[in-house]
Amino acid sequence: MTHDEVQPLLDAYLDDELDLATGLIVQAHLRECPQCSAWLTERRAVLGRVHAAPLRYPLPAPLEARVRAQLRWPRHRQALGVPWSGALAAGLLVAIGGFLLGHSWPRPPDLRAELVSASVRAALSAHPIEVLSSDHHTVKPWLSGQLPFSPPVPELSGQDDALLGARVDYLGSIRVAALVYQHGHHQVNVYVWPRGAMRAAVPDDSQVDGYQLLTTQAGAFTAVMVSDLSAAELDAFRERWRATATASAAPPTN
Amino acid sequence: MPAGNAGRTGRFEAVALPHLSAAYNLARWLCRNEADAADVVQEALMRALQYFDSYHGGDARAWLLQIVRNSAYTWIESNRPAGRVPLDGDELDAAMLAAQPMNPFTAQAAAGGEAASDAVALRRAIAQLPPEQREVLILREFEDLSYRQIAEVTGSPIGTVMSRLSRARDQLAAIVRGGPVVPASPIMSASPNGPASRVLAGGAIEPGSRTVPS
Repeated sequence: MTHDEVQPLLDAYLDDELDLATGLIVQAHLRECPQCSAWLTERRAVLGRVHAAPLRYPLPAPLEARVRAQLRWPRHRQALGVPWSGALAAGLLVAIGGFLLGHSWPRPPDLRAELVSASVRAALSAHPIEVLSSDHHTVKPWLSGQLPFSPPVPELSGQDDALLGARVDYLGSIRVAALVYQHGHHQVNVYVWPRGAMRAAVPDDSQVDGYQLLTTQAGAFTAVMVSDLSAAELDAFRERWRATATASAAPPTN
Repeated sequence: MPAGNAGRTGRFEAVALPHLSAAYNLARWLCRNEADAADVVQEALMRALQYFDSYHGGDARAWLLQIVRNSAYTWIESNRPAGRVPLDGDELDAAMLAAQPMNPFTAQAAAGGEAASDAVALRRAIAQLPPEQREVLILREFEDLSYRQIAEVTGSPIGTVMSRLSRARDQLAAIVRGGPVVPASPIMSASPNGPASRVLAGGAIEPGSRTVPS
């Protein structure tokens, strides 16, 4: 093999992609051709620097979470990137569509489906929390300004729970408060509305697609917690939440 | 969801999710901005799940990256009018690289100095490679795919992969040397399906280079 024939093979030689016979021929040529062996040395140095430089883009953690959620709830993805007002409507359609497309819930789509849908949508959204504060003196007035009632906002501080903030969601045809808590690595969404304000039946404690739904009453309010925590952990969370909320509950403003 | 569906999704996750980082890196380099890359990855994973029944074992990473690559080009075509692909982020990334460590590699590089300054120039040089050279380079240097795997992912003959990789590396070599980027030397401009493609490991004689007697 001539020099001109060997030269185009050097990259493949370096990558160990040549068959054995050709590799041996290139090796023999390299021993007697200073030009080729210098070229190979420089190439190795260049690639060494390419590999040493931080050029790989690391996977953003939120993207990984979105992909995982999307694989589990493929229909919800359609709400992504839709403006917020549209997202509400799309989310409702999606919840119904998800039911029609093979989710084998035993009963017609009820509040449980909407609650899980709202939680997943929040997790997928770029702004799952509209008022970002661990201080109930910030969160509660903000919610009161957005809603026709003033929900209890227990901080649950000093325990393994943290209040992250809140947003307003639309469930069962009314506006409800959605409080967002962190417990360990998990988030808990707590949906709160005045008792009796919603026409739909308050769901029983249940599990939907791996999400736990637990219901409680605190003073004049109904609250449903939705989380991927285990049933036992969420049950303990519910007790802490209810106890704190009942202790600090103010009567609703309407 | 029905148990069968959940099981299928679970199997898919076990096969595909270990390669999510590779998927994002490829999408990010092809789209050249973060938001588009994220959309492409999500789209590609949904598509892969849809076509999961057509995956019969084998190299899961190459299978997934092929879908990511195709999704990226489809996405670019349908969402960016020709000639309006923003080179966003690349300058910004370069500035950020210089300013703050993003990961242990960067921190290490900052200590060494050399790799970090390389990174700025190299990142820009790679971003400016023609897409067909860029994808081959990314798959080889960052994902460590074999020529055969790259040929599968890109749907090109192995000889083409080889010549595109050589040309891409020539560009980077010019950057590292600090000189102007020169076209590949004449000696390197062997035809993609020339003699090279017949001597690759694994009996790599692809359809493109086969001599068909008439």
